[in-house]
Amino acid sequence: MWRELDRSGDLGLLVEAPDGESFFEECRRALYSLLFGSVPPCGEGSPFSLTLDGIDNSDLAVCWFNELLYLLETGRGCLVPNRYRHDAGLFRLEAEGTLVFPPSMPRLAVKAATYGRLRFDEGPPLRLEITLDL
Amino acid sequence: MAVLLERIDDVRWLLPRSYKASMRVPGRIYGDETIVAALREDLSLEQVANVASLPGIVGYSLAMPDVHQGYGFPIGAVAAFDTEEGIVSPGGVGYDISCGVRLMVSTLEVDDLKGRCEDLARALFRAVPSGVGSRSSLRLSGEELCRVLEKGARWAVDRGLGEAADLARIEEGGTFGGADGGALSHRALERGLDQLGTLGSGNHFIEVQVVDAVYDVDRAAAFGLSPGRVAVMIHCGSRGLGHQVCDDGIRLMARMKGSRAVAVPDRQLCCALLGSAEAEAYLAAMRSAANYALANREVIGHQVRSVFCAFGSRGLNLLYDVSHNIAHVERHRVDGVLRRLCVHRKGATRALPPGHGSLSPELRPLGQPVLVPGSMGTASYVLVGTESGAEEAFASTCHGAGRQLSRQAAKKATIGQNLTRRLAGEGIVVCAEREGTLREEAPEAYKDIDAVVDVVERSGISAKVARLRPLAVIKG
Repeated sequence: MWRELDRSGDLGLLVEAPDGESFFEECRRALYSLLFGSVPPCGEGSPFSLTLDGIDNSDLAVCWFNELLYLLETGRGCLVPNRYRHDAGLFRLEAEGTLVFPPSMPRLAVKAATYGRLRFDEGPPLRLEITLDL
Repeated sequence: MAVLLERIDDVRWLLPRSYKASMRVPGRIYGDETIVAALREDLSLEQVANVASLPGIVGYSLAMPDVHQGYGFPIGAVAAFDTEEGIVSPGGVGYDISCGVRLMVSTLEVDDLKGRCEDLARALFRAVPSGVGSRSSLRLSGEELCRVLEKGARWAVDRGLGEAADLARIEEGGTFGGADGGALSHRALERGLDQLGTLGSGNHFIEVQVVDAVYDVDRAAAFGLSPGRVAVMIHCGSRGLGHQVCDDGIRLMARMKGSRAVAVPDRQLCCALLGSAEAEAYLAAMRSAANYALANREVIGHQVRSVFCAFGSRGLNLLYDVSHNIAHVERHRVDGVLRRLCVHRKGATRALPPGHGSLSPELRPLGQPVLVPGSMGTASYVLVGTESGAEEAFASTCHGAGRQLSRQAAKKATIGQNLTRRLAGEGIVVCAEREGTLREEAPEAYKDIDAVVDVVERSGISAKVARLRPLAVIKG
């Protein structure tokens, strides 16, 4: 589950999910929904995997959003993972999948995920409030 | 909130140290009653107090009248830190490093554009890449990007993408010293390769304006601002490269451990002690990003010049180009003692007084022009730095109107409206990628620019020179 939060000049998001793997997938869906509307990125793509380390799980969520934004801004594409592995104790996320072309130009210029007004509840369910800089 | 703040005079308010045990200095807020009452709606005052708690802060944690909630530092914040004991904070500079404004004055009078404003706006919209995902026609090699990062606007002039005379009218002569492209991550460099000469989106804009009021006749004349004269204002920054530098700096400082780590109440305030390797690396990268922003505005200015020439202007004279998201190491007198300070201005503008040694010889007798854009559809101002501003506000003033409605609230407030048509009814041509962006940036989303400028003038931290009203707005 995710929904947009009212923030001043920025974009706020609330994301909730029962476990780590589905939480990071929900973050990804939320971001791409805001950027591309109802058309999800899909289709043929090139294999891609990544590993992210945070200093805690809220930091890991910020890193995840920033990684997705970086891949998009530099033209690599949208990440469609088929496997996640979240180690909540080590604050580590591994994702494997494919990078596909975005379905359209983004509707919003989201530049970065921030620590501003960041709230994270380890749950269950995991619950994140995050502000994205426009 | 009235309980927390002690009124000093009509336009100055004190946030006492007793508000929060961690505060090392008090906060000072510039605002009238309406502006201060609006601070109840967000966390700006809490953020002013958090900034006041950082090590080495000197004097006051200042909030300009356009203050509103930001990340860590509020937007509209000025904070000066002792270079021996203080810190530098990427969050105190902001994501869009050296986001700033330039004003270029044409040789056209408003009547020269009668019936041609829409054509001019469309030509500017075509000439300057803008909007989400906009890419530059300039393709920089890695080596050339490093030269941009070291030389700033001077790189653009050397490449024939700007005019040599501009450099005396850009802060720091168009180049921030102490930059080092080697301090940037591979990601930051990659994000900067194809965005030079692009406007971006959000609140960035190009605006064709006309001078409609003059307050200081002599200075206005010296600045080339006479009633009816057409000018063009450009507002943008360091694009994705600057964002990545900020993100990298925050990630680095948030991960510092042991004696090097500085305890902060909000991770977005993470910082490093000045003189540490982390602080030096961030400052070198930040100055590089600032040079990228100066080059970006110079290149866009070059594109805008070509369009104006086609519309009959004999050139465009740069009045000034100044950042409003930056940290500068400067000397200021504090309690009678000259101190070396790292002044963070986040959504605040440096405003050097007449006679200041950092101004070019032609501007030194006049003082530094300060450019304060209004919201879309409202006036913008040219101010000038003052001696009292140098004494009490580390030579700083406001940077704009400041947001008062969230994006969602702005959309709600303008529901069913076509902003392009509404502004056309007010005689303002708008070219934008998306109507949605326009509604998020509607005039009602921002504070009253006249009230904001009135506060900085009444407080004496800067003085009005001229007001300009919009004729055409180009938005990403």
